[in-house]
Amino acid sequence: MKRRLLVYGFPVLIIALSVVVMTSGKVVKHPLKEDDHFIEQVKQVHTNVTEKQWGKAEDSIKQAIDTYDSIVNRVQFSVERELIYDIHVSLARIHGCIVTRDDTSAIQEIYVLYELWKHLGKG
Amino acid sequence: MEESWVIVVRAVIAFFSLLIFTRLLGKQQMGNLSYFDYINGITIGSIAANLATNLTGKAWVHWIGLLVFILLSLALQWITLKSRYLHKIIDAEPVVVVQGGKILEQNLSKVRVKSDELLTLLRQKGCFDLTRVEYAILETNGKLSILPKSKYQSLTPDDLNIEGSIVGLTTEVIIDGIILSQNLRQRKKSKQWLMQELHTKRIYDLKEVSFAAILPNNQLYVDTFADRVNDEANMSDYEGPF
Repeated sequence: MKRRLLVYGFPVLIIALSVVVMTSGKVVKHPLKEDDHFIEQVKQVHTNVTEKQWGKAEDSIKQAIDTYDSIVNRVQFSVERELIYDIHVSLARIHGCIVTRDDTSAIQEIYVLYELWKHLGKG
Repeated sequence: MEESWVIVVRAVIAFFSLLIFTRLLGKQQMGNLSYFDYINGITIGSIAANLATNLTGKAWVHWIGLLVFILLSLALQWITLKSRYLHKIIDAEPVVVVQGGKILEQNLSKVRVKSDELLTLLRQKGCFDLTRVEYAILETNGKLSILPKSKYQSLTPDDLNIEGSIVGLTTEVIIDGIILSQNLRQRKKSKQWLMQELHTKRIYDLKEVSFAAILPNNQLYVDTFADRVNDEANMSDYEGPF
């Protein structure tokens, strides 16, 4: 029984674990705790920028950047590196637009971010 | 992003996936791989390497590629087992390249082997005289099998009408001081017999034995950890350690 478990059970377990790790991105990108709502925070930035509340927008984007850093730790094993960096770059651009009070560019970049986020961990 | 950690995790996944998948593929001898098997093996290895280290793509995508290659290889194995005709198409056929000491040029060109390459293959098999070859066959794995003319074949006991020595398998019964009871039973021997044999060889503790096996003639071969050999067989030109 023990040998059967080793010969068949162990490989099946290894393959199952590997599949779970490789496909977990779609699940673990979603919030696991209260202050983990990345996309909600980005939406908040969107609202703040639309209403030209620059102070609030800056706080929100900083919070979103912190949240994204913690999400990266979870999704990094299952998503491509470039997409992770693209989102980092997009967040940095939005932050820059907020600092320079450029609402047009900020909104454009926020829509890029929505799209990138949609593809994170997909398929 | 901790790229080093990602590489570690992906390398572990690639390693075990490759191990499990290649075990699924079976025990085909490395030397018997056809040209396609060889290229297929390289491709599978390459996909596994990408799975481990190529972070520009998702691990899952590479893993699916690996899985598809393995499944196709398994399917091909199954097809070639079930259909001899398809086996011949997929794995090709052995080709006779020398018959009665004469090179068959047409067959040689079919397999795209030059005559000097054929001579190299013959020499590698210890054949330096083409006229001594009755048949030379190029196998599907690219190796040459040679049947020498009857007058150049080695003499066997049967040719002399004499009885040869007993042939059979050697069965390991002790490895690193541990008795392999199942193997002992296979040869219908008891532990008492084994210990008695060891005593006759002046071995009183199993821990002294590195390897012991029952030979085809039912004699016990014993190798102890203590190797009492002189320095004559030392191959090193310099004092170690190396």
